[in-house]
Amino acid sequence: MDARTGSLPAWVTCCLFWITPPEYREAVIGDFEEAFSDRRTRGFGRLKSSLWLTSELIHSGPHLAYQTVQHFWKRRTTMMTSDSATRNQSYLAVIGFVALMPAATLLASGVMQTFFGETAISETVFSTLHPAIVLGGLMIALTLNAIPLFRIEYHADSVALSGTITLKGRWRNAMVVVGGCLFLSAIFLYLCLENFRIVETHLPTV
Amino acid sequence: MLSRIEEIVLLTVCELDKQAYGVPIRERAEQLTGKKLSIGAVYVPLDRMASRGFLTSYESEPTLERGGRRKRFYRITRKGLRALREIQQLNDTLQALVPDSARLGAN
Repeated sequence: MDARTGSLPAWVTCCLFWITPPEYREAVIGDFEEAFSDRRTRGFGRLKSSLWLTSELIHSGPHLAYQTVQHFWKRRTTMMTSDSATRNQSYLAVIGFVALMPAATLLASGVMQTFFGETAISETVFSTLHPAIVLGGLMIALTLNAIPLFRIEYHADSVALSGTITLKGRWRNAMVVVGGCLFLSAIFLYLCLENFRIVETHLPTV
Repeated sequence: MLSRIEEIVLLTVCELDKQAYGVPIRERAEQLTGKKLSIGAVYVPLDRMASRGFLTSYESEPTLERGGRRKRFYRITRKGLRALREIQQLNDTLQALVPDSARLGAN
């Protein structure tokens, strides 16, 4: 007898193989095998045992699938902290710096126009850089670099749902996020000052 | 803080000692609670407690009665025992706060 041939129907083994996390696959399929064989030897008929097996599979399915998803996220988090992930984070920081360039150019030309009266450069920049490129670049830089920088975890138990936000010491990504936030605030400040001027009003005296 | 099912599974692992793997844990937990537990449902608290350090697990040699598949055995850790003790103490404290007239069986 082949060591791997059991009494479990092939479709059940196949279902369990796909819904169970790899760490527990062998143990879970083995448990199903043992419980099913036990029922058969205790005199339950094939039909009755098969019905029990189907019901057990339906009841176990959501639990096992939930565990598979959890293990997938755990592995993904572990991957993010490995050496190759560190390299990826550096790439993300470089992409972030490049994506910040349009906003940096726009702000630099604005500063030059305001303080040094240099209009030629600013006019060229303002006509070339579409707002979508500036804001899009900022959003890309912030999103790509915020993912490796922050880690959000939550734990739900019978009492309460608790969560933690961890800030990681990845200074390159942090620089991009801080720079992006500063540029974004400067742009919004400028927009507010340009669009909402303080107007002096004289209220009629009674 | 442990949930009720986690506490039951932890106590069962403790009781079964060296024979604590999926099938006997499930059977014993069913006997203790009187409720039906699926095989998959047992692995959720087991996995959660293993990741929290309350349990350790190891795989056995392949066995013929399981189609050549290994069993995953669980052992309780010191941290797990401490958690059980804390629950016991909390339960004792809470029980002591209940007035005698409100206790079950009191007329």
